[in-house]
Amino acid sequence: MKRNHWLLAVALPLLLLAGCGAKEPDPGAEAPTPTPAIQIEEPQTQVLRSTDSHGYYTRSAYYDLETMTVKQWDLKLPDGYQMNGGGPVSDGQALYFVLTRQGESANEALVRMPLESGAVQILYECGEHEQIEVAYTDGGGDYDKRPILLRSGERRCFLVHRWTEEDGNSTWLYVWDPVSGSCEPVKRLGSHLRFWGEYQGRAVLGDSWETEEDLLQLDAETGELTVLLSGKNTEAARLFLRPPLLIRENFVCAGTMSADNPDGKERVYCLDLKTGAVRQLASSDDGYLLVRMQDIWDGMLRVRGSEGYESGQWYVDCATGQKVKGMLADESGTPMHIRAQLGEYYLIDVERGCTTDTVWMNEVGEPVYSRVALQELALIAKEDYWAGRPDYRIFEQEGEQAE
Amino acid sequence: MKQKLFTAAAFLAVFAFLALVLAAPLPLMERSDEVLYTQVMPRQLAADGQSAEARSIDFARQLYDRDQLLGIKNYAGALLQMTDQEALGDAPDRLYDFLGRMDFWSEEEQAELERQIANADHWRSASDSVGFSAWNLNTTQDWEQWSSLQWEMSAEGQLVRMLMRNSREYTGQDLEHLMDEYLAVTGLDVLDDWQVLDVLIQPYVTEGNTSELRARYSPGAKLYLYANYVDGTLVFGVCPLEQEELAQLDVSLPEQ
Repeated sequence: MKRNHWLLAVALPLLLLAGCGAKEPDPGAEAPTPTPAIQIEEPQTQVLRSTDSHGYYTRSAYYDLETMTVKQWDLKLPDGYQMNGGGPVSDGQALYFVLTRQGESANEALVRMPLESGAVQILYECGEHEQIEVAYTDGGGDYDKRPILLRSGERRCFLVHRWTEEDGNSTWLYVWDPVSGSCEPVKRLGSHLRFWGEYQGRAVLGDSWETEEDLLQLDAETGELTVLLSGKNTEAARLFLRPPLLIRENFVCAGTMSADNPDGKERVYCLDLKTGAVRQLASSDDGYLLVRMQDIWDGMLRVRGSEGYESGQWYVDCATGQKVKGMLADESGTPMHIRAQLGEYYLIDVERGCTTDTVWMNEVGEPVYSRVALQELALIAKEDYWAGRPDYRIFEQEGEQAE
Repeated sequence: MKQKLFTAAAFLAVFAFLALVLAAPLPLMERSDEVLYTQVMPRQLAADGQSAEARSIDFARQLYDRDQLLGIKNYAGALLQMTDQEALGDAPDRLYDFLGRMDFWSEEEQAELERQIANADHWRSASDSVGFSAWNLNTTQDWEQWSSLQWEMSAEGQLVRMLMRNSREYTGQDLEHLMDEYLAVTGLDVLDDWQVLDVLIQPYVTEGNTSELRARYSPGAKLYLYANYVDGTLVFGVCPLEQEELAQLDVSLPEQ
């Protein structure tokens, strides 16, 4: 009996200690259930996106949906040009990029690259004091702005901002006709019109300087501008006609900064264009002084809160104002980042569990190292994402599958 | 009853012993970093890392070893362990001592520096396991704008990096002079392979302000020396960098 106690005394701490070091089950280790073949309908929207029925495009890579592989681009750019920060948009037949020339005052160009030939064709070269309008139309965030390209039948439309001493600022609608090859300005839309999102498949534009101007909807087929939200509506003007705005599906979201509010708090409001209901979706009372909207996916607004070194992200249901629970999140509870949507699927960033060091210059010209967690892109069914099931498929590097 | 007490005592004794054995390496590991760094590393790396000349200079060797062997990449003080509780202590005096040895710092600049340190409303300090320490002070300028005063020093009192808002405007010539003095005080001027770099990047400056960026590189010591004046901020320092990494910074060695 005494021997048993000794055994217990030695074995129990050992077992306890062994238990401390035991690895927790890795949720990513389980092989995800294969996603069924994806069927993507042709989009009804005029606004081109980073995706089409073939795949998803970044400035340096192509994610092929059919083979679930990622291929690196090797684009032959026109002499003197380089890719700017953003990626391309696709109409299914060709990609459209904005390129820049270093060290010149007129330094931007809109180019087209047919997917079949890969030959880059310049559609429009900016003159002095001209700029091609870009915005983030998917979930890439501020670092992934893409050109605003609109369908008009077979023609493609884009926006050019121009400023001259005589006429001041102006935003122009340009049309490129693939039959004649011409690229012409067709209409002056306003002074500082900026793309804030889309509603019913049409681009929504608002004046970024005159905050009491109407919010306008542009039909690229006719070039007609219609008022979506009038500046005469005092509540709309107070809450929803001042940037920054985020317009997706039937929701208009707007954020008020701490400096705008007497109590120093930030708030995000949402207007449901279908019902007219106005809701507060987030505020500094959620635990962070600064509260910023990020993107909307299927009626869920992604919010980022920050205060000093602390930050957090969460989703709020635009229709109810309730925080969303149970979605797919990383170990810290941060919802997995959605980059784009393809039919009933999302493209999400998944951490690979390793890091890389990169060196860059900060704003005062000092070398700084960043340790970046390497990520892969994965495809997940929307219902799995919102249910928190890590049932995603990772895009493999081209050639990996054969190994 | 006695038997139960005996079992419990044995249990605790074994547990305490195991805990002691397993936990002991933690503080020892911290100390071993310093031992490794000060005693073992100086004898290594001569063949595949820095030149023998660079290995003979303490400061050059320490910067490189810390980066290569310990993987501490804190070039802008970003990755050091932040320690809010650490006292400011003699940190300003060590900084004044170093700057006092440079034939660059004017009395007005010294007074301005002391004023900013004395008026700091909030500060943080950080240190690594081999004796390098960094300080970040939030100060208020005359025009009531918040700005940072930052510096980092080695255990031996060599200034690694400094950032300061300054009302004085520095020319490219001033920055070259500053780098010469810095090399002389740190002993890095012994290296005879310093090369002037072309810095291509143009930082953003507000209207009416200027930016001047100067940099040098020692391929043998694998050290990058910089002195910049950007938008009213003076910043200078030295850090280890592989030659291939220069391209990532958009700087280049002059063509031979």
